[in-house]
Amino acid sequence: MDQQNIIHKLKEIIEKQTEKTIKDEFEDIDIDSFTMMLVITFADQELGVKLDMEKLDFDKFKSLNDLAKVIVDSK
Amino acid sequence: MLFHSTTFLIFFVIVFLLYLKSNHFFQNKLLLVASYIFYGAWEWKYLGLLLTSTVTDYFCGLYIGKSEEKKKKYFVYISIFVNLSLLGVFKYYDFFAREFTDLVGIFGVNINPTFINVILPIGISFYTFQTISYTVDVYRGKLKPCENFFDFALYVSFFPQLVAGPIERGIRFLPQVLSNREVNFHNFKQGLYCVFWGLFMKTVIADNMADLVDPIYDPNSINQNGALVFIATYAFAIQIYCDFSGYSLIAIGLAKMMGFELMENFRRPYFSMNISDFWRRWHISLSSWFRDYMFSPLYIYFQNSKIFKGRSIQFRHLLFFMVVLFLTEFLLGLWHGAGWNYAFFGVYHSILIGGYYFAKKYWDKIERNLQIFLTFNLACIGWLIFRSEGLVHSYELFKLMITSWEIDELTIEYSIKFLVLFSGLFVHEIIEEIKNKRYAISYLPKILQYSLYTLITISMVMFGQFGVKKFIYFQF
Repeated sequence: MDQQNIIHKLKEIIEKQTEKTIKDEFEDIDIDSFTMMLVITFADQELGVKLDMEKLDFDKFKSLNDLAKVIVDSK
Repeated sequence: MLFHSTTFLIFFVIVFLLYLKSNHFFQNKLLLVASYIFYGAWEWKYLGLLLTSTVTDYFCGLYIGKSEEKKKKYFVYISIFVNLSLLGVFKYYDFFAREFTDLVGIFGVNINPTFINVILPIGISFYTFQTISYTVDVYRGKLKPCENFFDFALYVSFFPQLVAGPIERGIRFLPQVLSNREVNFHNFKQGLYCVFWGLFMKTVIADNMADLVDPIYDPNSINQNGALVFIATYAFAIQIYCDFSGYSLIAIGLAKMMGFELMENFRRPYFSMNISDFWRRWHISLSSWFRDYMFSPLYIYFQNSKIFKGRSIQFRHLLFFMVVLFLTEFLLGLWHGAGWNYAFFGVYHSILIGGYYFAKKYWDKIERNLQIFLTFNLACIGWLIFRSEGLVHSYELFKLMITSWEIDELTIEYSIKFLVLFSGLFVHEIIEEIKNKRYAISYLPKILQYSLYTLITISMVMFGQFGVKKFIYFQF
């Protein structure tokens, strides 16, 4: 799955779980622990990518694009 | 040596003047010596604990840097073991020994454990957490181990934030220790503002609010009714905020004068729109510590386990989130003190945060100011649990608050005092919330600024309680 597909999937799953609409991949979506943990589960179950604490920096992630990038980099 | 005492003023002026005259090398040594004097002034015997934590993590950091991948984690375990042992023995041992004795006593077993009966070493919960974060960050590869012992010792013991935070991360603070710092008029002015406003929050608002809170929260109080408990609970919410945020601001200000940038510890938490938001604004250095070193690793541990492996992403996410949230908040509550009311305070917040995510779609549709109002009141119930003398006392106060209201002279006197103290804070907070940054008064026209500074100074001289009451978070 490439970065664009990951963004698409992430958008779908975060919108469903947080019940918020995300306009685009660069929108600041106020990523809290709830969303971040959802991304971790998604990356593991859907893509087989294990994100670990070495790669996660809560304060740096702002948008879908940031999240998708860390998943792609962890592959 | 309290920040709001003459002793500290003299101490800081001497340190600051020597600091200005020194180069970077001597500045660091000076600050280290000053920090140990500052800590030793509380109780010199506990300098050994500070040193134990420092030496342990200095060497653990170095060995993590030098060791092969497989062995690195053992040094993390050593660091966590040593620091949590210090914390466990000096902060929690007596409490759990007493609870265990009572528990087995119910079943007719009598034991006589040895109690250590020592005063809690000041700041131990802060510097142990700070050093653990350093070792873990070195292990995670986010930070290079600090080679110079004295610089590392300064990172652990830096006196403005040693005894009550902010809990600084090595990744932010060590580079500031290692490089030259700029002392200039701009930093000095901003630092002075923080110290000034922090002192006002502590000496005028917090300590005078304490005079409203303490008599009502005294279990032997004879002047209790629901209305008084209600006002005292609101007063405590303001007291603890002004006390702790005031301390943090003074720490930030003192550091800023010397060219250091400490992390923000409070961002107007009573303007939070939900409880999750509240914890992103309240004691930020602690809540982010728990997030990064406990919540997330524990969540990842569950996620990587085989528990409910075949279930949907949403199901596992919600399940693990709630379990880990509960455990984290429970420990975060207990971090505040050895008492079940503190643990329950954490559990209460985990229920609120969990409840918020379950009801998010409804909550987020509520009008913004109502969200803020509800969140503040939910937080106040938490403060009632926190401030009481135990769980039974919490229950009694809560029951009183909802069943027995009486408006008498004392209630009116309390209400007036509360509103006067609260209004000063509220105006300042609302300006900073709108501007979304610090230094509210400095945005006003010059004439108004100086009038306010004069007014605040007069109120500090007239109503400030200097060097009388300790900061609440010192007991943690």
